[in-house]
Amino acid sequence: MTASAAVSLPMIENVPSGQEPTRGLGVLELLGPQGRMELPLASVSIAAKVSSFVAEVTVTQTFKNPHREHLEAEYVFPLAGGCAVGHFELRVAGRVVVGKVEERGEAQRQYQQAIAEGKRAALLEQERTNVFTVKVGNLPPGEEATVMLRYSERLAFFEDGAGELRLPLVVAPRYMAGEAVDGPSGSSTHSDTTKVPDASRLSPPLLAPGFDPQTGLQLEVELLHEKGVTSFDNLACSQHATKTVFRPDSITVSLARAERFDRDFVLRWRMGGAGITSTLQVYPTPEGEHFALLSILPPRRDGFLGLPRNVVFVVDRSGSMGGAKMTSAARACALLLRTLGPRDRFAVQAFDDRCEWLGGAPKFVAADEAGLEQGEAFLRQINARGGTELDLAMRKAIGVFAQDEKHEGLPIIVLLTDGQVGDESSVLKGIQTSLGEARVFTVGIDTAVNDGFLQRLAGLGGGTATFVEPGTQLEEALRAVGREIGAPLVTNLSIHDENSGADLASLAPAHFPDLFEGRAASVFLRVRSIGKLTVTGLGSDGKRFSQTVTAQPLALPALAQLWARTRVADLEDRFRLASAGMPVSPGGTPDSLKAEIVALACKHTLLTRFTAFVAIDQEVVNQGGEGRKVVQPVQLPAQWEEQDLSAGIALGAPMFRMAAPGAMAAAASPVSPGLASPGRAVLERIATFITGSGRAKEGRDAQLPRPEPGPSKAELAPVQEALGQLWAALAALDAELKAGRVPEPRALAEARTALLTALTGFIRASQLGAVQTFLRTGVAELLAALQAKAPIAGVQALLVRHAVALANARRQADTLVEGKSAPEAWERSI
Amino acid sequence: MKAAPTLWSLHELSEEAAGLLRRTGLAAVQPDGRVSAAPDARTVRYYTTLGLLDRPAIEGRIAHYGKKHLLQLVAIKALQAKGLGLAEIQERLYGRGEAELQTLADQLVARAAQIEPPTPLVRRMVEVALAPGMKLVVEDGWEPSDPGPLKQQVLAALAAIVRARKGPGERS
Repeated sequence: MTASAAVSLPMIENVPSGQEPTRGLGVLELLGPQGRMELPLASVSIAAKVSSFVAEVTVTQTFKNPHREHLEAEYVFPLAGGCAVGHFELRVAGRVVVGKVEERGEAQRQYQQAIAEGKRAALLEQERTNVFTVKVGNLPPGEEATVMLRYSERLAFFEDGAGELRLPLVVAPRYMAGEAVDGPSGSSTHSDTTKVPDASRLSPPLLAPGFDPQTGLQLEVELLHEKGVTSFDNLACSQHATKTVFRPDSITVSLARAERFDRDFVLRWRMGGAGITSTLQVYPTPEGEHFALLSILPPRRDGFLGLPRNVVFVVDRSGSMGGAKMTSAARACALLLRTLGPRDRFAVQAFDDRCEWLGGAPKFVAADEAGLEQGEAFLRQINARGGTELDLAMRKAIGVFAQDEKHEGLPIIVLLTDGQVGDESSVLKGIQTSLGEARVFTVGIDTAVNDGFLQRLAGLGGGTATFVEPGTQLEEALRAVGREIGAPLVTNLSIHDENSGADLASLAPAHFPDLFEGRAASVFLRVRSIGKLTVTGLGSDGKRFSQTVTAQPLALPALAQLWARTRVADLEDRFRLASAGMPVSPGGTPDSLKAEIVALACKHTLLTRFTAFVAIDQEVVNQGGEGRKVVQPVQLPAQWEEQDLSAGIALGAPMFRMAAPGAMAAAASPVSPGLASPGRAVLERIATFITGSGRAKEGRDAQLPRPEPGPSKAELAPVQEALGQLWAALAALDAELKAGRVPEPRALAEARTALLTALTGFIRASQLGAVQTFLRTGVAELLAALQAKAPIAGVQALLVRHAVALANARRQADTLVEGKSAPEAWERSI
Repeated sequence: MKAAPTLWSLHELSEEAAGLLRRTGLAAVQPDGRVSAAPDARTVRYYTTLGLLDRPAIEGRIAHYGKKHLLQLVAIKALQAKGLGLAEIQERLYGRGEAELQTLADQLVARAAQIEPPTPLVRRMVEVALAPGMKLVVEDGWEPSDPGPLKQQVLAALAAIVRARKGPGERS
């Protein structure tokens, strides 16, 4: 093996045999108690305050450096999906440095520079709506540093006063679709993939079973009594033991004992008293602006049954769903089946990296007794396995409506999953572009669910998101969603200004969500004064819906940030489409949308996918910036282990039993008893689950290819010249059209041929996909029109139609030819 | 996290680690074969998930491993051979730099070289009763080289035993 000959291993050859290495500085004592590596995260403290269904949460993380050299600690952690992070600070050496929001690339540069200059610094970035990365660098030996962030979140609420607060504590392993590619993007355990370009930022190392990092956790939630609210009833924390303190104006709930970071803290309650009504809350800023939150409750359903429904249930049976989660998902689906009426039809699809259908084919079954029993039998036999190819599953579910011969009934998709995927962007894009008339409802099932993604998915799909914890009372939790699945009570909602000076263009989300039974729908907007607004819409019974709401002023600065955050979510949806070269309403290019997001975030001090918080302490403590880097490993979510028990492997079972299905490796290679705990088998399955098809080619057959050489100047020259020719021809064409002349097709035709010829011999032609597509569609159509002597208006219309494709082609070409930086990994995963 | 230079495919890395462990005696003498010398792809991926192994560099969609990966893998296997569980191994190896891993490998190799060949557990002894309460025990196959000084040594040892028995009594 030539490779082994090339590497020298002086450590083996140079050690004189029999000589004990000197103990002392620089010698590792790995077998004694000093050999243990202390992890950087010392403690986390979370304090939440809830009033008017807005939560304001402060998260404080303390890092320590037990090492002899300076430390850069990195921690990938979750926050509630869709929250607005509006404050970040670094506390070191008795000082507080307040972080500032910068464009993300710029923030990274400033942080790196500070580290190189030997200054203590912290960087907070957002990877997903609910996944964040914090880095604290140049922490001197023996020192502690604390970072503190604050966020606000709009909580969903219901007519009956039910409220829910989720404080996630761990980022669960996610299935990473696509093939592994190398990228500089992150320091986690998974390689970036073709479908998840930032997978390496989403996969923190897992703690081995039995390794308790003893990170301190404090958590406290304060529920403030509102006007008209007399009590909080049914206060329930589904996954944690808590203690509750009742005060005249509030209730405080805190953890009853030390806890691990392995599941969401979920608190639910029901407010008693005067009842919940539609509201318009307005925050007047000191600068004289007004940010409003309008919450509308629907009327009661008055006996109108609605139209018959065609429901496709999509049940996640991937490896991460094992154990109690799989049982809960199947039971939840069975319960929802029972809410269907005899006029409805349904189909059930169970998916992992394959899709299986009830009855063997993607077809609707009547929701009569026989059909329901058939559905229940199908659900009972589903077990967990494989990867989570959610994009494929959703596309197939949407496809059922198109194949259906009976063209009646409301098309509905109900997705039951933990949402643990990395390629959320593809799934969301699929919903945005091909959902058609169908609505998507999501039911999230996990101890540490991907709430942000499932909320967005339901939001884009015109439905609602509901979350249940495995093993809990499903009937109660699913009561609301059972009612909602189907037609909303009121659609086509719009706002009419009475005397508020409402800026209707500022509406966020831009489209008022439809009203579902019992559930309030909210929008943020800007107004000029404290006045009234009227909301009108179309009832499902055909009647007109109208409600007028009077504003109440509220000293809640979070409303400004929540407005901005909701608007950013809309802009991200448009950015996702624009980046894929698809038409966006109401317009915008990736660059313009990005600029809009950055401007909004900077104005409102908001963390987004395009911005980051950076905090730099000015003292120089580490000349040169060298030191140790440690990523905080995280727990496997609770009950992810139980899948293993359900597979027939008891805790501490002897080795030979590990040949049970799902416990791989044991049969292939004997392992030491220390590794034989069920945790290892589970973790191995998790490793396989998140890797999925995304793993790099490995094993016996993998040959090491020579590294692909970059394009040399000589190789690049003909392509560059032809590209220049094409852009010039298009510019000339545009100028001719603007001058009112019909241009000659010759220059464009020549440029096209020249470029196609140049590309055939070009080593990196595959990196110019958008250019090639544009040549074969846009340019070809333009040429055809010119040769056919089409009218000027027609040619101009063609140019407009292909403007986005042209912009994408140009950007791609510039990236390659001018060596301009490619879009950042995070931009490709929006 | 990127290790440079990248040298081996996963299979090659595994073979390399196994060879090294065998040559240095770090994991070879396991009577029950508990430590698998050549970890398979799944096990390596699992170690990566735990952060015990850096993720590989990907070139042309193929995973490449380098010297740091080899050091990490050798360290895991060597500590396993010492009977440590994965949690304990993670507590000791997690976040270690290449220089530390090198030092660790040096130490482990040095210690492995120090260990004497194991002495057999079963030895045959021959026993002769010389007087009531006194026995002579000799290893089977023992032969006296020079009986003269030995006789003196035996008498001196007997005298020492008698003295030791009397000692405490006299002092009290």
